[in-house]
Amino acid sequence: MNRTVYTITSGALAALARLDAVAQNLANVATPGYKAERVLFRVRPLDEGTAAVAPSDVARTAAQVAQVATVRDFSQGPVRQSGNPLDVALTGPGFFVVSTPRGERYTRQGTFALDGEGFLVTQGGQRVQGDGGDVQLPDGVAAVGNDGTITVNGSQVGRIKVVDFGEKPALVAEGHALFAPAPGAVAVPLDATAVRLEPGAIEAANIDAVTGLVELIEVSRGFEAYMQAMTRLDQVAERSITDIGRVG
Amino acid sequence: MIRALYTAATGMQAQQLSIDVIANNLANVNTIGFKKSRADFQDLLYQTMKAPGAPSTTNTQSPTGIQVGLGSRPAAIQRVNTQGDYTQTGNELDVAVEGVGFFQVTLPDGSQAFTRAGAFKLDNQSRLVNSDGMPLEPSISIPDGAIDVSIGQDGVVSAILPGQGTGTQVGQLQTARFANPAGLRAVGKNLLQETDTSGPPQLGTPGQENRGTLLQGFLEGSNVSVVEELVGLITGQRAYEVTSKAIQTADEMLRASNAIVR
Repeated sequence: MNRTVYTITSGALAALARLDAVAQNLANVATPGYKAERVLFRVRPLDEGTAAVAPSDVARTAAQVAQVATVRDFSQGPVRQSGNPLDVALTGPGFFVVSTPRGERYTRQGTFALDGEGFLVTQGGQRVQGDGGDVQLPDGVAAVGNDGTITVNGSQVGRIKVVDFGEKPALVAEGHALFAPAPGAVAVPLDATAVRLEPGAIEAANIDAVTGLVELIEVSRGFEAYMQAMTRLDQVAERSITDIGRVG
Repeated sequence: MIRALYTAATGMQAQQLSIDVIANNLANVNTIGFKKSRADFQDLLYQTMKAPGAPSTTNTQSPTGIQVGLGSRPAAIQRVNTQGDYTQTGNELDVAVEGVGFFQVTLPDGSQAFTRAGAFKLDNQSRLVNSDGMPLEPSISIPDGAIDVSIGQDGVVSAILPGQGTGTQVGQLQTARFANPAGLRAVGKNLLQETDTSGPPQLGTPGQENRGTLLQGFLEGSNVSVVEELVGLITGQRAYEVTSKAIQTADEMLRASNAIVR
C-alpha cells in the first residue's frame, strides 16, 4: 500500500487528539482555577527507529505527525468577585497546597470552606495547608488578607501557604482541580511579600471560548481534508489497478 | 473520537446544573432569609497515555507526558451566607438577625431546625411560631391580652400587660451559631438542619460571642442579586452552547470518516 495513507492517518489522529483537548477545555470553562491544556506534536520520519539504515530522502518526505506531550498553559485566569469571604483567588504566581492521602497536591482553585471541626478545606474536603500545616480556625468571623494571612475576629491565626514552581511548573493534572508534582518539581514557598491574593474572589478558568471555537472549526475542516485526501488516494489506487492493469 | 463526545457532554451537564442552581436562586429572590447557592466545578480524571517522566530516550525523559482530560464534574453546591437586605415591616413579631446566627425551631418530629426567616406569629397557645407553625426553641409564650411586645437587640422579649405601665420580661430569644454554616443541610421551607460538617449548634444570647444582634420590625430578604444571577444565566447558556459545538464537531468528523468508505 502507498505509504502516503499512513501519513494522512497520522494527521487525522492528531486532529482527534486536538479535538479531545479542546473538548476538555470547553467542558471546564466553568471550573475555577482550571488551566487550559494543549497537545504538542512533532514530525516523525517514516524510517525513525531503524537507525542502521541511512535516512532515505523518500522516507523524509513521507513523514508522520506524532503526539509528544500534553502541556498546560499556567497563565493567569480572569478574577471575578464572589462575595464569599473564604473564596481566595491567586492573582500572582503560585499554587495553594492541600494534603491528600497520596501526599501534597497543588491547586489554583481557592473556593475554600470550613469543615465541622473548623479546618480550612477545599470543595473536595482536603485540608488546605498553612505555614504550619493544617489550618484550624477558631470560632468567629474569618477574613483573609492579600498576603494570605488569616484573621479571626481581628487576630492573626495563620497564613495560607502558597508555593511556586517557577516559569514552567512541572505539574501533572490529576483531576479534581489538583496537580501532582512531576519528577523534578521543586516547590518553593512564597513569603508574604511575594504572595498576591484576592479574598472574596474566584479565579476563573483561563480558557477563551472564542479561541476554542476557532480551533474546533480548524480541527474539523482539517480532519475533513484528510478524509478527502484519503478518498482521492483510494481513487488513484483504483485507477491504477483497473486502468493500467487492463489488458487489451 | 468517542472520548471528545463524552468529555463535551460532561461540560454540558455541568452547565445544566449551574442553570438549575441559578433558577432556584431566582425563584427565591423574594424568599425571606433565603441564601443563594453556587455550583462549583472541578476537572474530571485524566487518562494518562504516557506518564510524565517516562524515558523518551536512554538519557532523556518526557517532562510532561501525554494526558487526556475527560471533562468536568460538579464538586459542590455551596450556600453563600452573606447578609441579605433588610426590609422594614413594622410588624412587632418580625425579627431580623444582623450578622451571624440562626433561629432554632422544633419540627413536628421533635428534631431541631434552623432558619434566618424571622417572620414569627402566635399559635393558639400564644407561643411564638414560624410561618409553618413550628415553635421557637426555647419556647416563648406571649401572655394573653398583651398590649405591646418588644424584642431587644439581645433577644429579651418583653410585653406590656393590661393595667401595667412597664414591660415585663416574658422570654429570651436565642440564636445558634455554627463552625461551618455552609455545611448545613437545606430541608426546604426556609429551614436548615445540622450535619457532621456544619458542627453542632452553639446556642446563646444574640450579641454575645460573635452572634449577631436582633432587629425588631425588620425582615431579612434573600441575598440573591438578580443582575448577578442573570449574568450567570448568560455565561452558563453560552458555555453550554460552546460545549455543544464540540459535540457537533466530533459528530462531523465521524461523518467525514464514514464517508471515505464508499
